Amino acid sequence: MEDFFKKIYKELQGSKKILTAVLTDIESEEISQNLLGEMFLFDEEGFIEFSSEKLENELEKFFLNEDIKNQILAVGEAKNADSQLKEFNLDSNNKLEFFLEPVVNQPHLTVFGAGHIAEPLVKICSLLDFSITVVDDREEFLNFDRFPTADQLLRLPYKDYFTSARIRENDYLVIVTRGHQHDYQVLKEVIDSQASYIGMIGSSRKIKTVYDQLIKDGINEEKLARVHAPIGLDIGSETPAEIAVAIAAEIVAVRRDR
Amino acid sequence: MKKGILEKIINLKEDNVRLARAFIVQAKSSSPRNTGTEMIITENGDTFGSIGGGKDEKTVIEKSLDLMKTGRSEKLKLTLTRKEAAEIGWVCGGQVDIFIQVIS
Repeated sequence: MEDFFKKIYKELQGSKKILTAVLTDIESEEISQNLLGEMFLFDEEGFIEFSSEKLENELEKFFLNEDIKNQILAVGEAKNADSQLKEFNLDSNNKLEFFLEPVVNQPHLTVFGAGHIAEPLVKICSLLDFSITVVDDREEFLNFDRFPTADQLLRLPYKDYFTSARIRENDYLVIVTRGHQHDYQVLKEVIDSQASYIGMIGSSRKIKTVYDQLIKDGINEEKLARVHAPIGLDIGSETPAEIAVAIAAEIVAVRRDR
Repeated sequence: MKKGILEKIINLKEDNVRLARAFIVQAKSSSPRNTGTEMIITENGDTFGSIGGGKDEKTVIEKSLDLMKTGRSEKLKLTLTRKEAAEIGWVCGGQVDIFIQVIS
């Protein structure tokens, strides 16, 4: 099974959502109980790999039934990331139960700008099971005294960050840099990314300035609609901590498909 | 499956350690959040991750060690009283099904 797990790991490096199915119950005369615990890897488009040839051979004939195949693949299309136990009646004599679950990377929050909003935001989001990176080029702001719960502090100019960073579907991005030129720079880099959430701070005037600049650069206006700006749920926040709560709440809402 | 668990499995298998992955497949009358909670048990009894701790986790570890000897995977049904469940942080009592997957 070792190679199978390595294959999962390799697929996880891509940006597509992948799922595993573990065979957890077999009610069948034909299918050997020895297959309990065997797995396969799949995505919404199809099967990627089986943990053993034996499993593949056994299931092959049942997957010829498009209905069963589609039922399994449908789980891959669902947007929410929850796992589920599912029974499949292959035919009147054969019933299999699979535990289907996505393979996930912990959601990752990247905060651009280590200022007064970032500090409470990182604290709150670490309670929400995010791994967290803060990026800023100012040494005096970026330290573990201010961000004791961050996983990674990167002191770099923003443009350097993007030469190596790869943004995936489980990335949540908050743009709270010290000025709109930096916000513009960061937003331009991430607007085409697969990030689940992009939020940018600022007054409507500042937001418009940044958007106008991006449109001038040839960025499609429709793309800008995905940016959460003004950032955060409208709860009448005033202090940095209150604003951080509003941002965190918005991130949770996006994560939970609300 | 979480990436961290996947990495752990790969590392342990590279060292040829026998192991099992135990995960909650169904928790009746309890929060669905619990499903998918997983842990690794090695043949030496080392564990990584947790499915809640307490008496039941101990049962799971012992059962996993047994199963590793035979190489068979199995579903384990545990019944928790409300009190037992509360002690390990599961909101309600009820039945918890845990699948022990022996990874050969």
